[in-house]
Amino acid sequence: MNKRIIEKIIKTKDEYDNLAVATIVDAKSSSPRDTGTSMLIFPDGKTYSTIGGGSQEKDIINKALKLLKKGKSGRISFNLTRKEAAQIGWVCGGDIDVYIENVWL
Amino acid sequence: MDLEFYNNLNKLTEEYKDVYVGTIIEAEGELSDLEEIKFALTAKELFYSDLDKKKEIDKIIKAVGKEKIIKMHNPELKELKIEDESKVRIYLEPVTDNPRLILFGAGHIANSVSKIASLMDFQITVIDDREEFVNKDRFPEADHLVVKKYIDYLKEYQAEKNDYIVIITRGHQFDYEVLSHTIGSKAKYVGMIGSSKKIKEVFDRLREVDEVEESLLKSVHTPIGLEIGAETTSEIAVAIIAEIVKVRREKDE
Repeated sequence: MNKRIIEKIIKTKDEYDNLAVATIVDAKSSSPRDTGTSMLIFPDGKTYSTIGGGSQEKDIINKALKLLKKGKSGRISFNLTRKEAAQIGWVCGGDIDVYIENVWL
Repeated sequence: MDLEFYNNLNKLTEEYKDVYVGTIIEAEGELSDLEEIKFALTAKELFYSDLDKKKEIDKIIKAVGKEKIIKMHNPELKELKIEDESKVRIYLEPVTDNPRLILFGAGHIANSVSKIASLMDFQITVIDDREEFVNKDRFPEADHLVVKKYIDYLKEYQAEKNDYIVIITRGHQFDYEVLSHTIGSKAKYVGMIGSSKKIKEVFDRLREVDEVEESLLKSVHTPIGLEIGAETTSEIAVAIIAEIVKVRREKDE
């Protein structure tokens, strides 16, 4: 987890009731680079940082928004081809697990 | 999760250099109420997002091994069986800070190094005492531009372990000043440009005046950059950044 993310969570405390931290917790590929990448999603759809963009990021945001409404944490998984992964700037394809954590502010 | 955990985590990162976070993202059977629980760990401290679960979390930390956690470099998802029964998936990660790239000297090579480094996640600082060299036009991508005498900057500068220092000033005297202040510091990388003649002069002075040990002199990356036969300033910049990436990504084992 990057310090910038921690600082941003604290800074936003007056703006929202809760927010979501989405983190790639597992990327079964030959590169460890993607694991640990995280972003924040706020209830109004705004985001902070990125895990690479693309349709996968949109799916993550949508899932996070649903979870935020319920105030719950959850997970989402993808299977990316090498090509799909490259398009969003990830090093390799394969199975990717994202943990979405609800944080009450 | 609540804000309090992150407030405490933030305080911990101010106090300690190495902080690790664990999150139970899946737990089965009797341990299922551990899901979503987090803890933060340093060599000396440990706190939990939910103190009521202290006993169970301690068991999990023990199963992974505290010593293993506080030595990890990359985030990792681990699957454990606690007491041969309940399966637990735990995500462990170090708290990271963006690496700082500090360029002493704002000449042509610095310009190219800064441009290439901006494609990565470096926070870039450029220092030079010549205002006409250190400016937004020449370094639009840099995070901090400092117009100061090196010696004055060095009085305030404290190297951190995530720092990458590139010494490319315009003269031997300045290179010596910067190197004598940064050699043996916490910085992960110290590199200095120069011909073998210049390197010898600077090193001799460090040996004689500052009584610097040979092992420390060896830790300086000089001549700077990976050997790729670079000729132009941009090519030299590629070699420097390549070396920095190599050092950054090297495993300690």
